[in-house]
Amino acid sequence: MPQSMHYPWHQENRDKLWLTHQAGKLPHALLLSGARGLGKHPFAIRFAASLLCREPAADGVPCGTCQGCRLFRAGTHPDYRRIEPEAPGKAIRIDAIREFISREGLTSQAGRYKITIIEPADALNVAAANSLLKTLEEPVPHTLIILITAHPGRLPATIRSRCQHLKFAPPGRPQALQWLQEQGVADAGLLLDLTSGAPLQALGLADPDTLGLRLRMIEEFEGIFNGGMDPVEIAARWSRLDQPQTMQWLNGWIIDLIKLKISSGHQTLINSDQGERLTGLALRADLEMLYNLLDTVYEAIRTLGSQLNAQMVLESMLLDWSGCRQR
Amino acid sequence: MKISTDRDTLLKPLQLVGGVVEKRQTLPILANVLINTGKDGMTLTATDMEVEMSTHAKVECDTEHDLTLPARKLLDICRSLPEHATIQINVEGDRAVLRSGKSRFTIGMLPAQDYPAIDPALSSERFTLTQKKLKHLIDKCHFAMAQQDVRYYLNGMLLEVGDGQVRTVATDGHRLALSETEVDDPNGIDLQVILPRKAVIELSRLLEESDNPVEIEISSNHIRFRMQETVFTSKLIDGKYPDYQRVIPTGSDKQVFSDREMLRQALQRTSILSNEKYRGIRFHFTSGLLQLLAHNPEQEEAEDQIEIDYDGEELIIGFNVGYLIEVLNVIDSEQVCMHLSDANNSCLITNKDDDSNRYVIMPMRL
Repeated sequence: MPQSMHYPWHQENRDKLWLTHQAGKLPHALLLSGARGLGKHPFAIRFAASLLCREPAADGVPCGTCQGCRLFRAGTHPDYRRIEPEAPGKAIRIDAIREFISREGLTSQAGRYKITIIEPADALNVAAANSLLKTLEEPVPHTLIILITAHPGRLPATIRSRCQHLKFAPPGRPQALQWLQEQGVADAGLLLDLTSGAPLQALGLADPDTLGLRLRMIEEFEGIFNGGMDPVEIAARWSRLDQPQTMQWLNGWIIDLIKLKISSGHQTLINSDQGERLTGLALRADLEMLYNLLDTVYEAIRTLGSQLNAQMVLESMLLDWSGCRQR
Repeated sequence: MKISTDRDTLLKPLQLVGGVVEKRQTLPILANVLINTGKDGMTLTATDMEVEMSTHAKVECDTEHDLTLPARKLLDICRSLPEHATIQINVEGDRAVLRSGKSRFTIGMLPAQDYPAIDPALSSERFTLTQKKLKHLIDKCHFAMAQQDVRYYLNGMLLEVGDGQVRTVATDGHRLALSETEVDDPNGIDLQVILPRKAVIELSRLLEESDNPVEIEISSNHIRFRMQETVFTSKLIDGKYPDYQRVIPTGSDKQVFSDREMLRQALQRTSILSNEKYRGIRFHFTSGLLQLLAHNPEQEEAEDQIEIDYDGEELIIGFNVGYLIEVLNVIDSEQVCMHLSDANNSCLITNKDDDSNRYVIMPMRL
């Protein structure tokens, strides 16, 4: 297994789960939840690899050389499958679940666990989620279904109640900083602020282009407020960018503006590098309208990946923003 | 590594294992066939992760080597070559080159160690049957298996060995089929496994009406059928089969004997005007006579009468005619016997003088 899969902040969850397994008390369904960028996916893969390995070490590290490990690495292990949307952002449809159920009753090939990862679990549409219930409640022995989601609240309660919940919290700041520095990341502190402490997401942002783009976007954001730039034109441009990321930027800026509005001081800002610019904007913005705008952004984040037209969502948001000036 | 052979030696085994390769695979390597070469030829293996088919081809190989080649393409190439054409396959790096006459094909390979073949060293229990017997066991009852039932253990066929007998059972909750025969080498095996639907269908196609032996090996996860050149392996359904013995009626006091073909034809005729969904037909048994009555929602009606060998009380009972016809299709004897008690209890159907195949059908309320 590649070394990069050993994230230090997983240690506790990993040990806990491995002990459960060795005690023979592993549940048949696990729900891994936590913010984006905490490494839930690699965690699940690593755990699957441990279960499929013929001779894992005492602490669960897969040997990496047995046939189980070899097939798993090649992606051809017969007792492992992934269920995911056909295209990112789309729903997981009932056909995929039916196909899974039709084979779920069979014995495993290697005589160990049969592992299925459903990710992101919140992408299950209603029909797919319902068709999964029966199997999720009472699968055949030696089945492990791992559901992964950053938004457990979006799963039907009927799914949640059938899984054992394993929560992932952001690691402590010193640990995250140390890890990011080990990966050769410069502005580790700022990146962690920007990602609410999610180290993997921070690592993903540690790219001059991404940060440069963010800088341009916040300039445009300021420009709209000052009246110098056209919100419609900028919305058209932003709609071609990575939407989850764009929404996260917007979300962070508005939260900071509200924070600055309520109390001064830059210490607790998400965008700790943009304190002055944001203070300038906050002075002239209307608090109530900012709150309304924040609601709009949250709503947009919730509906990400749905049928809504990204450009129109952004347009209405940026037009609202341009109207946030105090009268 | 070099393989030399001719088209026909390669084509037949390829066709055999090619049937297992699914058209739409989730994993690219499942589109490939695993080839293990050795001194006495090569073994071809294909799997869809549920069943695995492996067969031997007597070709000339210069070394022991494992490789995988795209099954479909290899099959299409062999098929389109002229008959008796000689074929040479050379492995060069990560490509295989196939030459025949003036034709030359360069084919991509995938690493053989990534192929999810079933580990052979897992079998524990074994017994032997002739191909004919096994085929018989399967063909006499596979039609009663459930299809995509939530009771996943019904989507397959029970194979039970005990007391020197081997028995197959299939049921979908409305009807049940059972077939049994003697094991050729009874050695104290006592077990129950459920074969998945796919394996049953595949096996029934594979087996021949011959006296050649099939060696059956059963482990906790797999069942393996060894024939002369071919080995067929399947996963099992991991569940407990319902207690089918309780379903087979024992206290039937009425026995109806009828000519199988005559009954089948009468049912076939009457079924035309039965309700298309429920296919219910009313059976009215009186001394020496069976009256059949069907009607559908359009108020159309079919009536038929056949002579039967029966001298008990009058009985009126409803059955799904589809289930009966399927049973009559697989019974060999000229005469069939229906064992009945009343309109609320199941009917047992057997050959007239041999009960190695038993069929149970639940009645319908009409």
